[in-house]
Amino acid sequence: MLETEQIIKDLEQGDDDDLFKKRQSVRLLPENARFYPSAGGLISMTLTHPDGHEEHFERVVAVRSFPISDPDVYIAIREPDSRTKERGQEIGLIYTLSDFDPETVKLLNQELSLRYFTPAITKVYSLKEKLGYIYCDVDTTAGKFSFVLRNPSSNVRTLEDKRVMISDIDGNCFVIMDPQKLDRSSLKKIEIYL
Amino acid sequence: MRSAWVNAMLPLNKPDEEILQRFMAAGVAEDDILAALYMDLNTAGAFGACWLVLDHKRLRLCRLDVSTDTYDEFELAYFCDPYIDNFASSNRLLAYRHDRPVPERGDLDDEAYQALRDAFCREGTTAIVGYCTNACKRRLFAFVYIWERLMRGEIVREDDPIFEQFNAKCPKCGTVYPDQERRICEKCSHRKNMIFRLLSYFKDFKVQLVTVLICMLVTSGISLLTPIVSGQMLYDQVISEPTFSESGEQLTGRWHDIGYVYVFVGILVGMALLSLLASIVQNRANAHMSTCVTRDMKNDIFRAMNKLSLSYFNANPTGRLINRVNYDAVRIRNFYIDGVPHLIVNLLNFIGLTIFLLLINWKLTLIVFVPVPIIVVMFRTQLPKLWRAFSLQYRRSSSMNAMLGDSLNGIRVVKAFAKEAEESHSFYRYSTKLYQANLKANLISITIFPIVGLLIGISSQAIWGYGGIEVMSRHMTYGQLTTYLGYVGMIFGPLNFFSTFTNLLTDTINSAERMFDILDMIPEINDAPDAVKLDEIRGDIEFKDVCFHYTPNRPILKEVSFHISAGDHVGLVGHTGSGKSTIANLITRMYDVVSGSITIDGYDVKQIEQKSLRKNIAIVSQEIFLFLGTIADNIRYARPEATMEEVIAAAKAANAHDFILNLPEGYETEVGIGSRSLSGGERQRISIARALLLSPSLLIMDEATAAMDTETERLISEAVDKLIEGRTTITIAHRLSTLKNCNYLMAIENGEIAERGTAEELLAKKGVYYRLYTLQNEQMKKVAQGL
Repeated sequence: MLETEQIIKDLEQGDDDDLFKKRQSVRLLPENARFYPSAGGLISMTLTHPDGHEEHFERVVAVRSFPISDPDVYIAIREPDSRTKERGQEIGLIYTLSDFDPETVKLLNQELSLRYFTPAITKVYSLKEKLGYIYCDVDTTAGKFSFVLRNPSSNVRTLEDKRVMISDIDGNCFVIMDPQKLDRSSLKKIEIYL
Repeated sequence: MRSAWVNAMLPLNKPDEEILQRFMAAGVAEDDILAALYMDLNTAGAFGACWLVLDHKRLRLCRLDVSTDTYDEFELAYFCDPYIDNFASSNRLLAYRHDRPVPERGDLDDEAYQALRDAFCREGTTAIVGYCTNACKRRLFAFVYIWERLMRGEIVREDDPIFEQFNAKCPKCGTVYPDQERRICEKCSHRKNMIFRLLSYFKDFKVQLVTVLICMLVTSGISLLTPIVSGQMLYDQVISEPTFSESGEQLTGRWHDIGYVYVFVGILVGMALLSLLASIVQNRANAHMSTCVTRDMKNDIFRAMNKLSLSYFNANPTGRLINRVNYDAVRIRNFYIDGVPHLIVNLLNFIGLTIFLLLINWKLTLIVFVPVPIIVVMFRTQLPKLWRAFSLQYRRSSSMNAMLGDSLNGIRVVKAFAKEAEESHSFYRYSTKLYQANLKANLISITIFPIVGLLIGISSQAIWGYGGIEVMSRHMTYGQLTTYLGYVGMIFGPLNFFSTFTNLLTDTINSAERMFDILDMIPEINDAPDAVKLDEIRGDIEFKDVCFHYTPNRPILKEVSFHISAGDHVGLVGHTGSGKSTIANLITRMYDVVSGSITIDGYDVKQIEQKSLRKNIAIVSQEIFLFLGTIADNIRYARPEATMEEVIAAAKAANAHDFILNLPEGYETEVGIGSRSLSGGERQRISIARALLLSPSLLIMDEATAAMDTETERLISEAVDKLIEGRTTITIAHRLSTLKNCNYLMAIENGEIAERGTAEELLAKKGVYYRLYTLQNEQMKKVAQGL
């Protein structure tokens, strides 16, 4: 018990700040954040603190706040989740991607397009319905692919801006930017599910 | 040396001959491959094919990107700690690349070695190994598991539980699914099978089914005969004057006598009555059969659902499940009761009508069939539009209902933020959308059907014209013509039905599939065939290297091991999401461990009969649920046979007795959904009483007293302490004061037991518990100082 009291006394003296340390997310601008490709093809970053001190991150993770409606604003830059630290903390927030130079924008967009891998369907080769599963052969912006769709009434979603989001039975996402702009035979095949 | 225990490639992905040849050319023999993984995205992240293999002889990871035809090798000693980045619909496998090999463990203890490894990790650079979509996700996870085991020098055998998920079998016929990621058994889920399987619901109603069919045949037979009786008999042979053909054969007026008028009118009335009788009998038979069949189906679905494990309910929203129980059964019933008999009758009608029409006058029949192709084409092209419009209407009306339900459920929030006007406006938006959809559907239907009507009309006029000439030239009688026109009006009914039937069939099959999906699903958690029935549990619990996750790559528990002796009172502390409640769920076997084992009294929980396990364990969880019914019913939910004395004693122990008696209807107060008369703390106390009444050998209190004030909590904990003497109790809490009566505590962090010991010991360790303790103390001090 004595020991407990000692600990409480220690606490009162307030020498335990590091126990409660949590990173404060900052707004990221070209002035304080520099992004560049890492050796392994990922994104590294150097953050300049207001006191001029530079912090280096071997790898950072970019996450969109509004991945569907507004992918270029409020992009969070986080430390990667790791085995030792579990969830990575947010380093900062990019308010608008266009704040940065084109090269950085390209670098970040490249990474973001991998993270939000949503190939756009450009052509529908065949659509076969069998036992309630719809087998789709399509061409997408990322190449030809076959997927299986189930329960189209809940897995095919038309957004306000005509975009159609499709999620297949594995949880992969596809998009049709504007079904009306597909060629006639593709549209005819997919029409009944829209 | 390691290759000694590897006999064959582990059953993950099996590269075909061509791929093996390519690896062979790069110096990787088939025997050297421990495991191979197929990734459906290439190294640039686009669709393609990429193979990874673990070469256990040379300890290398080899990668072959088929789409770009590139081959790479990574020495595993310098390339370690694989990590999967879960994206929305794809996954990226990363690993750390180093300049020096992974440090040897030597004689370091766990903590020191971990620190050394952490430091080593930080100096490496992250490298991308490959990408795949979610279709390969589970195999990717298994591959990483094998990789890690290999690096630790551990053996992964073919019979490792990790491979079980890739050998799932169809629950009905026992064949291994051809595509493990998509568990569809081609053999069993055949459409024909389904239709016959559904028929089994009608097996007790053979008489009714036959009756319905006979009645339908009678009605349609009568409707076929009526034009003949009224036209060719009553008009031609009774009402008309006798006429003769050129050859002297009498054409009309055979029974030209007033008496026959009464006879034929009587026959017509009789036929109408018979038809009415048949349809009454048919409807009565239907009413009985359809309600019974729907009831049976709903019961079956609900029973099957109840057997499923918790993870199923986590994955499926309640609304959807309710829909399945309610609408799918009704839709299937409609198909068999309305669809199938109508199909038979319409088919017979169509054949009969065509024959009659041809018999009466084959030339006129050609005129009738001129618009038929046009009408069929119209139905085929226009009706899908109408169905789409109806489906849009359905979707809009369900989103309007969802919005309505949402808003009314949250009416207190709406009012609190004075958002009534906005909610009304939002409802207006939804109802306008529904109105537009309704309008669209109506416009289509009021366009299609008049056009069809017009076509039929034109063909009737043509028949009048051509038929008139035929009558005048005495090739047919006037009565034959009216009979004929009567039949023409009838022939479009079956055509309309056939064009809608395919739709009805598809809908039914979808419903049936959803229904059989549930009926055939094998619960993830099952009693072993040789499950042990334990009448009483002492409460000795042991976790051995337990790993658990809900989604791969987000481990909740990482190789957790601990032992709780019978009669111990243990407290679990830790941050939100650290895995405390998961431990409780695993003990009660709501989920099965991914690896490792949990034993209770020396028996693996998987070997204990679920019923006897749960009868001995009571859990008061943070989610309180009171069923519709009285308070007393709710308290004795787990033991309906409990006496009133026992109910009151349990309520007293849970400190609920006083407030219950303050309610006007005491223990008979109705509670449940929507009942807002009880506060959160009161509801929690009822759920504690429910658990205490079970008098369990093992009690788990998962944040059970979180919604109570400190004073009530103290009262309850005292009462509970008295009750649980000698029984194993696990208390999970954020508020450390809840845990003061525990024998010892376990602090959980990041899915591991970070600390274990008495409160004093943990404080001295200055770890997780200390941190929580100081934080809570700090808060209290601030309150005291009025900060």
